[in-house]
Amino acid sequence: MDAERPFSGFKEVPHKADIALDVFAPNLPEMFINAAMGLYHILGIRKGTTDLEEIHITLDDIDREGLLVVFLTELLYRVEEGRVVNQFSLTIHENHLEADLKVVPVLSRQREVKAVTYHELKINKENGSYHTRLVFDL
Amino acid sequence: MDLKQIEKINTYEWEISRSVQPWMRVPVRIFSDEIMLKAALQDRSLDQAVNAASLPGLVGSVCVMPDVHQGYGFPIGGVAATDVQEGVISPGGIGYDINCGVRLMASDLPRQAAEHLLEDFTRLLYQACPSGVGEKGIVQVQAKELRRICEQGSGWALKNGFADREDIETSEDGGCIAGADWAAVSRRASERGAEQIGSLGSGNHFIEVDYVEQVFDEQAAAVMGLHKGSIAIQLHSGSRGFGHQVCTDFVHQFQAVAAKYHIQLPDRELVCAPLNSTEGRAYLSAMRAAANYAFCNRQVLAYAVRQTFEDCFPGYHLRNVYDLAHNIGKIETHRIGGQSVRVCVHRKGATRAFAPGHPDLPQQYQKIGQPVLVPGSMGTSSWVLVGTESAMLKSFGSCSHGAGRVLSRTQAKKEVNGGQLREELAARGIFVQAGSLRGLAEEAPRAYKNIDRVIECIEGTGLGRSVARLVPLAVIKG
Repeated sequence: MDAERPFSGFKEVPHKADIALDVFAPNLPEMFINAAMGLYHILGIRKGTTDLEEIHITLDDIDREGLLVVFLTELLYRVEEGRVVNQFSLTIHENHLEADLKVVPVLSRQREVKAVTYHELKINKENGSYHTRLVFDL
Repeated sequence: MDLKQIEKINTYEWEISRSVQPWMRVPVRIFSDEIMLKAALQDRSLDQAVNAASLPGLVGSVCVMPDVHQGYGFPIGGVAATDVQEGVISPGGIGYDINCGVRLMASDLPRQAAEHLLEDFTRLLYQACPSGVGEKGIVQVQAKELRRICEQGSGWALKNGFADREDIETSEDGGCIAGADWAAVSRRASERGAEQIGSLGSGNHFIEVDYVEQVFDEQAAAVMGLHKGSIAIQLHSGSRGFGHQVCTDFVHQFQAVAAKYHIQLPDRELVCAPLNSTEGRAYLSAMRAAANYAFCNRQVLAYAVRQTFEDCFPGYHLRNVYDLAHNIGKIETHRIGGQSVRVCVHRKGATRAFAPGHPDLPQQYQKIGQPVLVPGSMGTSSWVLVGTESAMLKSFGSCSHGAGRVLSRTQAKKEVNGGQLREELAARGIFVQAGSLRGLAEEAPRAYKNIDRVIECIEGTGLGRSVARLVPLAVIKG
């Protein structure tokens, strides 16, 4: 890892009944993408290679934590439809998100996630790095 | 939370006073022995109960059941009642799997007569009852029919040949809660629900073939049709993607609503709306639609279980003992401070446990009280109890819903190998059909509390009275 660059990614943290992820990134859009990758990891998705479509989504919420939940909920819904994002391009301005997404089919998945929760959700910025902890209901 | 902050009332009851946190509107009453209380202090479940005590309009205490464990927002194993005039309703206090619940069916088939066919029977059940990730249900419908399901619950199953009259009579609320409103349900919920009726799902959902190992109350067991040594089947499922979407929609919508009504909460997963507001009424109506969906889902699954059972074991009938919800919000009347009060009882991972004579109970259970189903983990026993007057007085007529987790899923996966576990259970005479070995490891018996100790606490507090103990012979996990 580049010593100058903060850690970027996610890691699973123990949660008694459900599943929690710590997500890190040097900027907000990358944190949203890392959270999405974490969600797909929890779901145990195997992706296809054929591009299904390119979609543009616009989301607004009352704050950036809410925006993160809404964004992940949107992705979760699309997984239920059999679609997984293979390539992200995101911009976030205050509580507004625009995303161009390349979508491929879900070939299989290992787990159901009922919901992305707001439980004690807070996006923190410290020493140039963003961090949050997400709890998913299984 | 620290043990020093908890006052001992007696061996099985403890209290966290309102003074512990400034946002608490009522105390927290914990039903547990000291050992299990100390175990609960290892996770954040009691902090979550303290947070739940912030909801406007709470009456009595926030109640914590012996099987409590950490959830999100509310703890799992939490009960909270809010005044219908001045209180709120919190979707997070009910959970994403609205009307997740358990059904118990019983037969006169002796265990010995079933054993030689048990593996074949379980394989046939596995084929007949769709389970696992992304599986479609036995029934797939268009929106018009889905609306009927949401309005009629198990009544839809009866009209369409998936139930008999006794199934309906022996389900909580007759398998249908009045007041569901299709208009309050989102398009996404409708899309997700259309194809999943009669599907088990995954995670901790299961079908379990048991035998009645011991009877503690002969009279109550006889009323329920539970005979020592005979086969019984439990089924655990909920409202599938339909309910998950309803809760998701309203937890999101209520983020802004809470601010509109100047409601301040220590955790935004607890968001809520006044019960008498437009938003609160909309959620209540949508939640009831999801609850009815879940009643119908379990009924359709139960029908498939019964068909398979009666094909495999000709001459034996599988009748419904009871079907109940353990993630639900219900408008009920309770005695609080000597007065009858209409409240919205939030039960999240808690089972209704009404006492004998309660008008909401079916005729056949009027004398014994409501059957309370407390499943253990797949390698341990499950218990059948009945509701009591103590439960009415102490916990808004509520009791435990299961064993409660002690290991996180991550830890369970580290400690348990799914394949090995299946072999260990087989060596103990428990046949397992599972969609995922990883999922099986996460649900390993050692991931759960000792169910017998949970029952000891229930008996100690008087929240329920033991009727029979069931021991597993075969388990289907999604």
